[in-house]
Amino acid sequence: MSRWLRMGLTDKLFVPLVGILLLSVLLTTYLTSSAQRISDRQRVEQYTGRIRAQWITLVRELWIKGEIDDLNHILRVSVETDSLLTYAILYDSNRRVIAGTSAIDTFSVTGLRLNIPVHGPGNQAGLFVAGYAGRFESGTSLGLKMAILIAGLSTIIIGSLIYMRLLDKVLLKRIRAASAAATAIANRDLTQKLDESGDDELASLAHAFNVMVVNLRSLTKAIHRVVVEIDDETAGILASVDSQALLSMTQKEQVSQITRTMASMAEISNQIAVSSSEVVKIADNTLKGSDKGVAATDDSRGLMDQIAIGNSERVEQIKDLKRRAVQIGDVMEFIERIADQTKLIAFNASIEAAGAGEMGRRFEVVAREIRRLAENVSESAGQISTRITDIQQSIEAISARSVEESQKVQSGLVASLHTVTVLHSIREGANRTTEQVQGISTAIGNQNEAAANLLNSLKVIDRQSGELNQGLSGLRFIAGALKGLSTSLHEISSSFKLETDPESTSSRTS
Amino acid sequence: MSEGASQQAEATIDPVDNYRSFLISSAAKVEFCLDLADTRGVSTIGKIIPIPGTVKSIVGLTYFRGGIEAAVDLRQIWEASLDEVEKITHAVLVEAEGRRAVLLVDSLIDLYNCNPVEASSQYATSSFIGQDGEIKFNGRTIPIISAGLLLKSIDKIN
Repeated sequence: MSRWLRMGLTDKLFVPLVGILLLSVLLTTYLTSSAQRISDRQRVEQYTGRIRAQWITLVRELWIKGEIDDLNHILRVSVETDSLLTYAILYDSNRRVIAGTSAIDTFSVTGLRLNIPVHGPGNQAGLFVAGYAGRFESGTSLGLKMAILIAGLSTIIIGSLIYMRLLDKVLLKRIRAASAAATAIANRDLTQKLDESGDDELASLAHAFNVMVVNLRSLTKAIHRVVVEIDDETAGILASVDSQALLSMTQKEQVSQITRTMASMAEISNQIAVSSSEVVKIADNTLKGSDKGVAATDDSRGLMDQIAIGNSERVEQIKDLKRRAVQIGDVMEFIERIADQTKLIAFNASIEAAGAGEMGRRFEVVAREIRRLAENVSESAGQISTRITDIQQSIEAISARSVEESQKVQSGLVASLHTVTVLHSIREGANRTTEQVQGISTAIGNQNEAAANLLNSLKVIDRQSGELNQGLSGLRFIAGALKGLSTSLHEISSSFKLETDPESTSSRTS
Repeated sequence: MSEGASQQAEATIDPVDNYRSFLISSAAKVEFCLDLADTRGVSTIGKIIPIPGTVKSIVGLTYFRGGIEAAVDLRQIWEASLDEVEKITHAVLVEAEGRRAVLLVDSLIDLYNCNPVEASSQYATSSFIGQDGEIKFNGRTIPIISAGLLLKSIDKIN
């Protein structure tokens, strides 16, 4: 028994089966050959008449239809049987089937090549039984042969049953264990282990199965670790994608803002360009006005020089007039003093006349007239002095005013010189302004060109940001799907039982 | 003197009848008149040499027409306010009852001739020292200062 157990499975199955089959074949061959002869003979007799009748009918119909033009071409007619079906086939010398018929009906197999070996002479019917062909012979007793056949068959059946039972107890138990283990593995239990005892194929299979389970367990653990890493990486990717998306949105918004700012700057630059043109015109007008102002100021300076000269002459004349007025005042003082003296003399004359009595009355009249004249002279001299004083005051005022005007003229000259200097500065400034504004215009043109290029670049960046956002959205969807897959894979890998349950192990061991 | 006043004074002269002539002047803005009979002459004021120990009204000695005369300041006699004193410019030599003195005056205004009745002291409305009547001159009442009374009053004050 132990040797049988150590045998290979092929040996276990093949050797007994071959023995049983040989025995059965021998027994069955012997029994059936005898039995068939008896049975076939009866059936041939039964069927032959029918087939001949049908055959004749068939040949006649073919002859009438013209499909057979020469009966000599019909070399052989064979009536063959297959199990309980008996049929006849008409074929030519090249074994090409012309027509066929069975015990049941007529069938057309025209054109087929008959590869069935035919026994017997040509143009004769033959009968075939499966596994056996030959002419009917008379045999042994049918009852004995049937008993032998039944005994052989019974032996085969019983032996087979016994062997199957043995197989069931020895081999199928291990196969079932393997099947159960496979089912458990199919149910994600990777703790299964088969008994590897023995040297047969089942032991090798169990060893291979166990190696496979160990490898599968290692693979599952590796998958689990990888899934965890994928899950972590996916979460990182998602976070990175979200951050990138947020950054991209911010960048897109900033690019939009920069684009708007650049557009505003371009508009402002255009306005500056227009203003620069206006400034150039104004500077040109200022230049022309400065030239005119310089010319007018030069003319004004000439006139003011003439005025200053005239004013100086007038001042000198006024001073001379003032001196003359002072001289007149001195003369008038002198006249007043004379008048006072005259008046005093007149008083004394009157006094003397009064002292002279009657004789001095005429003289007193003269003295009175003299005194009146002196008073008139004095009064007139006083009035003249007053007038001269007024004239002197007027001359003083005129002189002061002339001096003041002269000073103003001098101030005007200084101011005109300053004005000329300022106008020259304005002219120079206008020239510089024109040059600077032209430079500004050139710079603004370059700036506008650069701004246009920058604007186009920003538009490209904006479009690329949109595409990047779309790509990030897709990447996020993929990352989400990947996370879902990793989660599913994690669940799947987690569903595998990788460690042996101690209780079950102990129970199995026990 | 205005022309109207002269015509008025001249109109009152009667060459036949006696009449009195007055020298109208002012001292310390007070107009007064002196009888020409007592007046010996007028002049601008000269240098005055103070004399110690004399009365306050005699301010010193001055030279007048070849003689040394006593200079009398009427402002001191009439006790006029010094604020009202104008600059003394002229001197009037008077002589009465054998006395001579030079009166210092502010100005010589005019000569006036009038009837002796008109120059009466009967209805005098003021009482200056040395006053002896008053006259109407151009609508103003002017006191007549007598040289004799004035010089006597100086003696009395002294």
